Amino acid sequence: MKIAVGTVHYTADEKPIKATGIGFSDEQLNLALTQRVPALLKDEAGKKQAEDMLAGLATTAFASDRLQAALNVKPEPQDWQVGEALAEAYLVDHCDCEFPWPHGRDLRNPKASAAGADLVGFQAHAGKTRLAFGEVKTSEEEKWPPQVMTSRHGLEKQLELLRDSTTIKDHLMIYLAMRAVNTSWKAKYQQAAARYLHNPQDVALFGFLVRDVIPKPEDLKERGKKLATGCPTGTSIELRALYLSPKSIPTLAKRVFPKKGGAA
Amino acid sequence: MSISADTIKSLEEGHWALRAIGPAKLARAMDVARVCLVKQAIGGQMTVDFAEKDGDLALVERVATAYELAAIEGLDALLNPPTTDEGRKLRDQAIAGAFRAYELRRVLPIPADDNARVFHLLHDAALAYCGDRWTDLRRWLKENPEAVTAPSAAGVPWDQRMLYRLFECWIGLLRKNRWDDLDRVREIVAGLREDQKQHEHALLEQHEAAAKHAVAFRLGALYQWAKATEVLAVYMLQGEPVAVAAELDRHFEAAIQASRAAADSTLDVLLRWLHVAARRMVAASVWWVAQAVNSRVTKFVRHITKAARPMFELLPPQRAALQEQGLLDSGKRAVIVNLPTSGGKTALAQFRILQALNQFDHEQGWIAYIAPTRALVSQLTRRLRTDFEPLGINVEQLTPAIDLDGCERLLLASPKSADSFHVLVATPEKLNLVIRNKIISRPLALVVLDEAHNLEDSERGLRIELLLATIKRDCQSASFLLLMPFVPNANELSTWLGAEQGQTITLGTTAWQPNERLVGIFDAKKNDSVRAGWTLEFETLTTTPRAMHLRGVHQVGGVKPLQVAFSGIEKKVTLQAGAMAKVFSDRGTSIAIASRIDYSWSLAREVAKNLPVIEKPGPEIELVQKFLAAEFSPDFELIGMLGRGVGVHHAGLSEETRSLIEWLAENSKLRVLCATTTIAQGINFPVASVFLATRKFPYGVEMSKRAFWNLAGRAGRVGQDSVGVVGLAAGDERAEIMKYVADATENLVSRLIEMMEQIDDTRLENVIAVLHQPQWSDFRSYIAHLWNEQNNLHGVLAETETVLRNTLGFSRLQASVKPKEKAKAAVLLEATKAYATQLGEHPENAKLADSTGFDPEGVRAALLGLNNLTNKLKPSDWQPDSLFGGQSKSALPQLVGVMMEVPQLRHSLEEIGGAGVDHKHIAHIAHDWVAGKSFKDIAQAYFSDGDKSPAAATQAMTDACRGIYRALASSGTWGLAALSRMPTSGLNFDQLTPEDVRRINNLPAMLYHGVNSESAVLMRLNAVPRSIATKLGDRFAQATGNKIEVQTVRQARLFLRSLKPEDWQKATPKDSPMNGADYREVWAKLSGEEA
Repeated sequence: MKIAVGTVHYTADEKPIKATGIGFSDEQLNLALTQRVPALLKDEAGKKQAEDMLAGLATTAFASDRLQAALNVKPEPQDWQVGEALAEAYLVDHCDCEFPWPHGRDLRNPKASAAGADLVGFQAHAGKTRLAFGEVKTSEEEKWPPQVMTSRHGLEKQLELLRDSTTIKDHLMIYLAMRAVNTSWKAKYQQAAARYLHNPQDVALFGFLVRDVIPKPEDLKERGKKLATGCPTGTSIELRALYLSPKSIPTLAKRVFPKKGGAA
Repeated sequence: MSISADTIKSLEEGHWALRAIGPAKLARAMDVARVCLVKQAIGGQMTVDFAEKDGDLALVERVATAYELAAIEGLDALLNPPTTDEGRKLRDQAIAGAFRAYELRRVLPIPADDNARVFHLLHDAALAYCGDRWTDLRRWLKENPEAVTAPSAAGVPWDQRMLYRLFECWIGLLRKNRWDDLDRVREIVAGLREDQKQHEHALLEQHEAAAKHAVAFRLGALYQWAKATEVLAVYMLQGEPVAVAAELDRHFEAAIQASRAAADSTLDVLLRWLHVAARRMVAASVWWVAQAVNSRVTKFVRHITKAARPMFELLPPQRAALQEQGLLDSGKRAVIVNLPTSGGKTALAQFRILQALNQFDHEQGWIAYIAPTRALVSQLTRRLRTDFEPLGINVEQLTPAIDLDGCERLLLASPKSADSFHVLVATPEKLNLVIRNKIISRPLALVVLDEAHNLEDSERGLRIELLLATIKRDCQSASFLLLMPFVPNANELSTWLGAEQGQTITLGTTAWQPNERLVGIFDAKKNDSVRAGWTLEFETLTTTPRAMHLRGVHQVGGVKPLQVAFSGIEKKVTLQAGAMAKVFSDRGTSIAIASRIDYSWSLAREVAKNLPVIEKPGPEIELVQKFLAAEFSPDFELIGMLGRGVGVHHAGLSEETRSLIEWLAENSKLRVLCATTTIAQGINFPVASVFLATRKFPYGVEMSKRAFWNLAGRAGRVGQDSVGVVGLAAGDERAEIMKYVADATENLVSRLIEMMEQIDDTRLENVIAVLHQPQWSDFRSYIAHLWNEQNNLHGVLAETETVLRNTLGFSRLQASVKPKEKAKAAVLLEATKAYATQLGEHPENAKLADSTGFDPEGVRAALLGLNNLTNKLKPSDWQPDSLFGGQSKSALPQLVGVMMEVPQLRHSLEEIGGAGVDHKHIAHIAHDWVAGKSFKDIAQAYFSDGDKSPAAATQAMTDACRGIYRALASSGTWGLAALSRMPTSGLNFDQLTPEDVRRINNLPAMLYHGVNSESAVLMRLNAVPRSIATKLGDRFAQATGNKIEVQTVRQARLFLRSLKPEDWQKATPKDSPMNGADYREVWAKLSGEEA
């Protein structure tokens, strides 16, 4: 089942940047949280990965007791993780995107060695596939725009970096290349990578903001303007703000995992 | 697995990622990368004419990424040996992709941020390994010490500390400068295990649950990586565990899984690359060979990994030869290794030698290692002895004199014992004498022929071919290993020597190169910015084999790099070569090659004039200066030149001097080395750059392309220079030079075929007359040997065809599909039979030909000459005191007179002093030389025209050296030895005591070495300088109680090793510029002993 397309509250396009504010009703959100999102958040491999890793450490002569203790504590599901899953579902269902590799969603690594992107995949565009990268922020702050948009590591800066830095995109493309061997999406990858290599500006960037406040174009307007400045002609940047009912965000994780109480 | 340039080309044309970028951009990226590399390497010396554009480096990065994507597709095939064609193609794609990716990425800026730098450098390093470019990487690491310094681990979080320490481990593993570099890895990893107790807790406690998971996984990845690193280091040091690949797979795979669980894509990507790199490092490890062969090889590997300059890994061509092309396949009788210069041929030969020794252990088989020149014989002996002696393998060398002196005869005839030699290093001529006379009773297991392309040499080629043919026939158990560069038809040689048991290992087309090389032409152009100004211009050329091409014309150095007016250099290619060498000398020794010895001296003068005196020249230069002062003269011009970093290298210097000059060049103690074209025949040491005023030899013949590329291959030192520079003076031959370097090297053609081709059709009916011409001398000796073997005409005629078939030339002609060539083979056969029949009239001449090395006609001339002497020779004439003593009583002038009747000796003896020189004059020089007179005295007495200028003194000294070494020591020695064996010599060896035989056999050696006692000969055989050899020899004689039977080469060597500097001091001549320690140091350098 596809996630709802939602109601458009405003458009704040700043050419060439598209910016749209959309809203989900509670019912639409409920359907998404119960039928679309859980599959994206499942991490059944996680437990096995932990067991395997701990067993393997015995041969390294490094101690494993503290790591075992750390891995035994099941992390509480996080609302921002659900926010990312909502964004992923939306981009897949309504923006011709595909994210074959669940990059960085199940675990947030504060020390991940390189800058990356929350969502890394492809978009069908003009009859061919191109690379698509998405950054997602979830905020309940009653401020327009919220700090997650404007801070030093905010959405705008992240998108700016993705737009301008080939180093990150090159790295992600190499990462995908390593994953693509023997997969069903290898052909799409090659098409997208060839397009990128031909013209590194030919990528789709998505900024997705999940909110539970009143929709206001200020959330996106200024960001769009800034991103429009110096945006290469081949690059498509789209900003989306998804507005949920007030006070919804703190309930997201609980609504996806009502009984289990854990994502892993 | 070694990939060719064609594999890379097909990748560029066929792979989707590279097609997406398009050929124009690929070419631009390569141009940019080349220019960056050249600027980094020689930007200080050459202004590269290249218009940079915005986005150039971004393009380089993008193209590198495209190559990397291609490589990634084949990573699995690189890890797991593929069994299908598709798999092999993917594996080659991985190597080719990584090869280029590294080539491009190495010029990109290094990130300033520590974390990013660590990942960037390790990523590049892994690409280098996967692309078979670890030699380039090692050089880069050496050139960029700051970039590879590990970030401080103090005060950083635990996982970062792990990362930085592992970075340090990997830099050591990649650099492998010393044993310590690897040994330290174990220490660091052990330290990290201790640190874990202290630091891990704090890091984990910093994070809430979800993040804690990620951190735990990341640490798990780092621990596995650390273990894999330790396993790799231990293997590279000790060759254990044997199942290292499985161990590495286990730890790397676990590390990759954990980094994936940690969602750490950067670590994930890096570990994947390092996994493959680690496996590649293991595959190239010298231990791999040890596993595959035998205990001798294992001991050898243990030794070379612990040497002062350790060898842990095989160069890509070496690995390909050993692992893929069956160099050590004991079933192969003949292996031809066709490798580019500096591809590590000697080490390959060493492995093959050890295998052959093992195979012939029971029979105590021996190895012959043939090198073309005296200098190379010494150099190879030094190297082999250093590596083999610790394994109990004795290496001995023979002097190039065509004579087996008493000491050498003792050495060769020594019975099977722990003291007997295993490897004998000699020139082809000397080995010929040993083989034909069956001096060694033990079986010859293997013949290694270095610089085997000399088979086509106009002077010695036929001799070498016939030597191999003789070995093929006379030493049936012997295998062959021929080492040569750039020979497209190497297959023909392996078929010739090994038939179906022949193997050719051709790696001439390998993409690997010891370093990048710029080959181009230079010229001087007017520059009016100063009075009479000029600049040097350099233009790279398209070449085969491939060299780096830079578009445009590039200025070298500034205006007037030599203080000479434009009019003084415009047409002077030698000076231009010197100016190029001077400019490029900033980055290491540059060679400037002149066409003649006198030109190289005047060039050295000019260059030295333009270079400042080195304030502290260092102990090496000072040692050579003192040596020159002692052996030549304190006012020898070369001493002052060395003080400015200028050396000279040509046939007008003693071999010891040349060896010491090479040692200085090899260790970058010289700025400019001025040489002649003949250096191409014997150069075996790398330099930074080479500039030729001419590609022609002093006698006007053009250097073969193979010889030129062999010389060009010396430009750029493995592990030191990213870019080697080779330049040819344009002069007025620009077009010819462009063609010369662009054309591929031709097939190697047997000299016998060439000589047959030179016979015009009208003379084909009378080839027997042609066979009597001087250039067929070696061929006649070959047939004489057959006579000796068969002893009757019937047997000789029956065997002639077989013996001819043993030669490369005849076998090729006979097998040819061209009727004309077949007919020539038939004509040669008939002529040979006719000649053999003629020989049958005087079979004793054939016998003497084998024992003397003369051809039968030379024997006849010598016999006649001796018969015609008015004063018949007596045994007393052959006593050293008599022969080299008082001039009036000596028979030497008469003997020299006879020598000058022998065609094989005459030409060289006439060279000694130009017109009007008679045999008495030569005998006088010989007398003074043996009596120990210095070069200076001999030069003044016999080679000076009275001009007292330094240049004239140098010229006289040069003539003296040439006269002594090229004429006296070679032809004089040969002649003396040969004449002593003639029936009319007045000697009857059967009636002499063994001591007398030995004394007489050592007479030629005294002439060869310029000393007058047998014990001094032994000293000289062990590389003791002439000026101290007699005194030190006396001490040796005393030490042995004057028992001549224990005075062997080996005992002399042991004696010398036991001497302390003060012992040397006692033997040092009064007023010598050298003290005992200096002499000992020179001896150590020349003999390869540890000082």
